[in-house]
Amino acid sequence: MAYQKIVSSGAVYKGKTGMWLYIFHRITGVALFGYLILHIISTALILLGPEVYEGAEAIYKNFYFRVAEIGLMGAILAHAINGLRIIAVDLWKRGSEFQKQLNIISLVLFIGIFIPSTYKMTTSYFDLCLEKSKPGTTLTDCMIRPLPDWAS
Amino acid sequence: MDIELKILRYDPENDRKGHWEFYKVEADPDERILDLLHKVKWFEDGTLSFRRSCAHGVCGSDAMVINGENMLACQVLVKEVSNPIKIEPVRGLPVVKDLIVDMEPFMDSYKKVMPYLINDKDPGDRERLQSQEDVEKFEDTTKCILCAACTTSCPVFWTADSYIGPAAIVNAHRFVFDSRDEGSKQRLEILKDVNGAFRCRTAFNCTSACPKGIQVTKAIEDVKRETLLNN
Amino acid sequence: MMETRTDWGRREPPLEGSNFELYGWFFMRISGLLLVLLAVTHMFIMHVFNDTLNLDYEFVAARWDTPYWRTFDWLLLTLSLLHGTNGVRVVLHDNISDLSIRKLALGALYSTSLVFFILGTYVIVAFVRQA
Repeated sequence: MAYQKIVSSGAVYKGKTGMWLYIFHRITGVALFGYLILHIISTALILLGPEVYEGAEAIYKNFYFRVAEIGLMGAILAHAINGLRIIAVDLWKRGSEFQKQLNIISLVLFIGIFIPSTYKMTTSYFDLCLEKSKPGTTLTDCMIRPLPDWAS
Repeated sequence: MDIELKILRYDPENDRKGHWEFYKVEADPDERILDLLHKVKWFEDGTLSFRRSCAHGVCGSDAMVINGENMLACQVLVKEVSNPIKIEPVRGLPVVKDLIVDMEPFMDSYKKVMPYLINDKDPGDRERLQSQEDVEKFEDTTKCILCAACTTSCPVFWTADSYIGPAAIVNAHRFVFDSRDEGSKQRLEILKDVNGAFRCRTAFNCTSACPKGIQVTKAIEDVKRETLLNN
Repeated sequence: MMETRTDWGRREPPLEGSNFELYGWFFMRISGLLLVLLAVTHMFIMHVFNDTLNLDYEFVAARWDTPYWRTFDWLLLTLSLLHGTNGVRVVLHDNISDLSIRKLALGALYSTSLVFFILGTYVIVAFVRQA
């Protein structure tokens, strides 16, 4: 008689906030490690001189990459704040007693930093885009074109 | 009131995966989930298998996933959960049949931490005394009934069953912080293994799953800090 | 009178275990604290206070004119690679139960990290501004 290791049920365990934060911390962690590798490659191009480096950087200057950049900012911020929460639970003697409060503080902290940063990164993109582009460029142009006209 | 039961069944002779079966039973809001299972087994479908012994939350036999969370069927009332009621076997341990899981891997982890008092000194002609403060350090973890609700609620245990699991760490905690015990060093040695306490990622599922209200995650954190400071 | 037996529970003490997981766990917390300072500062300077639209060769060259920023960036590189490698190691441990596949994955992880540590260090040390 074989014991079945996983009896597939398709049902999700109703885990606590901590379980979802654990999963979230893993996903952002692995994603940030991948980004770190790409970041080392793109920065290494600087050894090949200004043309190569700036040519490569130009790819990142459309609005789609700005959205991804905001996602990156959010991932770093969330991983950092959740990391501080984990440190508090692990190393502070009374951390696990106050874990619910720590969850709320982390969320408030994240929103409090993420929203203004997103605002700054979005408005600054359009301001700079209009300033650098040819006269007559609209916000929609800035938003949809794959390559800005001043780059490269 | 009419209760709809949705039970994840697994018949080792005919099934390769589990399948859901539906039952309708008449129940009082003050009845326990275990009573519903009895009604199904005794009057509707005798092939339904589950474990239970004392039926009063002491023996730790009937931990199962009820509406997505680990609970003891004998300790939860019908009025405390929403209708329909979904029942599955606990996760991460091999299923023998229906709601019965193989507890051997769980018990092996439990035995690994040497869950008994180790003290070679002759106590003399009376018991070993300890102060009220000494008792408070480990009193919480003496309440464990080994139902496996904590270990099988742990997301780390689901993916890596080599992890010793919260229940074993709780039972190590019970002796590590006992002033009469002299085996702490050996236990901490076992728990700092790759499959030991440092595998805990503080998801807190274990703390809310414990039917005895043990602060399981806190106990694991105590063990981690003790290993860090007294190593 | 019968002699009191006191050797209940006596057993061979286990072999001195490795402290690797303990130190790994503690390292993640300490490096995490430092990375909150380094990585979050770096991110705010490069992506929020400055706009990456203004990022060019001159900007990076000017930063790396000072040994201070080179040290900062090298510390950030080293700590984030170590923190990330250990994090991914734990993820692989948890999710790959087949030992030979896990070994393969860990080998790939360690060599990737080593290669990028050498590359990153080389870039920071060897960079000379082109006129």
